[in-house]
Parts: sequence; C-alpha cells; structure tokens
Amino acid sequence: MRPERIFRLVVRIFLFILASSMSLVSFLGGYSAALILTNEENIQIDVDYEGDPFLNPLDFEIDIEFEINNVGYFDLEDLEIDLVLTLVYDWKNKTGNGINVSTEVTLYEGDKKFATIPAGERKKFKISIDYEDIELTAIDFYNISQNADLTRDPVFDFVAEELKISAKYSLGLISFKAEIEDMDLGGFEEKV
Amino acid sequence: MSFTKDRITKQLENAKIKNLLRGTIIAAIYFTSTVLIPFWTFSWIKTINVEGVELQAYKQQVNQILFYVWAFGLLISGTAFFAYSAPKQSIRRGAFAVIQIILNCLYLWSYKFSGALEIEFDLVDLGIITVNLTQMILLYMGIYFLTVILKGYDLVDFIVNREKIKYKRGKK
Repeated sequence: MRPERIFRLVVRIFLFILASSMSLVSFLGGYSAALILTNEENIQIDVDYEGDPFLNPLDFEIDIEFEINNVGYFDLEDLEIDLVLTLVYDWKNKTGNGINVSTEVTLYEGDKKFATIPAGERKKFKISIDYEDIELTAIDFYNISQNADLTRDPVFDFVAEELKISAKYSLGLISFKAEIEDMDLGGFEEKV
Repeated sequence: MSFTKDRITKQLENAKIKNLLRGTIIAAIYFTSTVLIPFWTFSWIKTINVEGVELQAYKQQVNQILFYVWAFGLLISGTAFFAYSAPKQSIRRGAFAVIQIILNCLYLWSYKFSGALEIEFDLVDLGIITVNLTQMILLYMGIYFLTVILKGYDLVDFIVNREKIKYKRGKK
C-alpha cells in the first residue's frame, strides 16, 4: 500500500470512530429522553407547608419538592428550575353578580440551580419558600383572610403559574427546557 | 490470444456488476440513514406521551424538517450510488465523494434552517418542551468538515498519482 493511502486509512479510522461515537451518543440521548419522559413516576412534584399564614405569616413556610428519576444513560446536568407560585382563593360572596369568583395572587417568584443527577439515580430537590421570600411579593394575608371564602376546601390552592425546568443531557450536547403553565400543586387544607 | 481477450472482457463485466452492486448497497444504506431513520424518528416523536399528556410537535415545523430530510436525503443517496459504483481510486469516485460530502454538510445545515436545531413540542393544556440540538449538530458539522478535507485529499491524490494507480491496476 502507498504511504499516502496508509495516512488516509489512519485518518479514516479516526473519523469513523468519532462519527460512530456521536451516532451512539445521539441515539442513547434520544432513547433516554423517551425513557424518562414517558413514565409519570420519573418526574414528581409535591408541595408541603408548615404554619398558618392567616394566624402568623412569619412562620409560614412552603416546600416545593421535585423528584426526578434519571433512568437514562447520561447525567442530567445544569438543572435549573424557574418558578412563579401563585395562591388561588375564592371570594366570600362568590355567587354575587359582577364579582370575580376566584383570585390569583403571586406568592413566590424565583429560580434555583441544582446539582447534577447521575445516570440511573433518583434525586430529590427542594425549593423552600419562607417569609422573607414571600415578603418580596408583598402579599397581604390579612386582606386575603378578610375577603376569602374560608369555608372552601381547600381554603386556597397552590398553582405553579409558570414552571420552567431546564437542563443539559447527552454530555451537554442536548439542552432542553420544559415550560409548564398553571399547574395545580395542591391545596392549603388547614381550616382557619 | 482470443482466450485471453475473452477472459479480460469477462473480468471487466464482473467488475462492472460488482461496482453497480456496491453502489446500490451503499445508496440503500445512505437512504436508510438520511431519509428513513429521521422520517421514522420525527413521526415517532409526534406520538410520545409525557406525564400522560400527548406531545405534539408543531405540525408545520415537522413538515418543513421532513421536506429537507427527503430532499437532501435523496440527493445524498443518489450521489452515493455514483461515488461507490465508480472504480476504486478513480477521479470519478473522488469527485462524487466530494459532492456527496458537501451535500451531507448541507443536509446537516438544513436541520438549522428547517428549524430542527430547536424543536418545540406542545404539551396539550400544560405547556411547551423545547429541545435544543445546536451543540450536537455543530459537532456533526465538524466531523463532516474533516471528512470533506479527507475527500479533497483523495481527489488530489487520485490526480497526482494517476500514473502509479494505473500502473498498479494494469499489473493486477
């Protein structure tokens, strides 16, 4: 074989390995995404709270817990969650004419970055919202307690008005962003 | 004398059939990888359910992507046939290989102007999922760029070393 052809063969083998690895990474990335997204159990969002905002807003704390099961072949990197949490309640005289049946008030607005989820692992992340975070939205719990229908069960609902989850996958080659609107996260069931 | 001539004619005919067969097989492989697999993938994506909600890629965007996949995929498969049915180390093969690789680059680039670099899926009554493939496509483009250089090198080699190649062929 001519030296020119030997050099060509070496470069060709290198390119073949490079292209094959890329194809494998692409295929496994797509397959992993399908594995994660098609099973409801792999992504769980829960809301938990402590205290009563109508009695003592200073002690009121909310935990939004995200549980992600990375059943794919690659690590889930640069996970970032952007959340606008609202509180939805009914007016006392909701049957009256010309009065809004329910009202939405912003409770929290912020984003948080989380650690990498290694392939094959299930991890929990928490966004803890305390009085300092709530104070920024200038929500008036006294006003709500005066106007809200406190007999409603639950008294108010936690709604993710905007929930953006973004991350990188397949060795950082694929990035994605899920934008969810008006997702019901549960209710505040303690009677006042 | 006549016996040798017949043998050479037969050998040449066999070589032609072999080349045509190789060209057809390679064209079929290219057709599968550049048209059928992307077509099935995009069609399959439309049927995925996320959290029990139907995932709907924007129809117009998917149709646009599929148009370019078909257009460039068919061109690539066609040139692959001409490149691989040509005799080894011939200028024809080198020239078609370069055209084929440039078409491959355009094929990948078509993913950008068809909108496939950032695909949006509509989660009915819930929201949107956006998948960004820019990094991956750019890396593929890099690999194809190296392949273009290699094919260019082939073409120059076939032209510069024409006599050596012909001499070797004649010896065989």
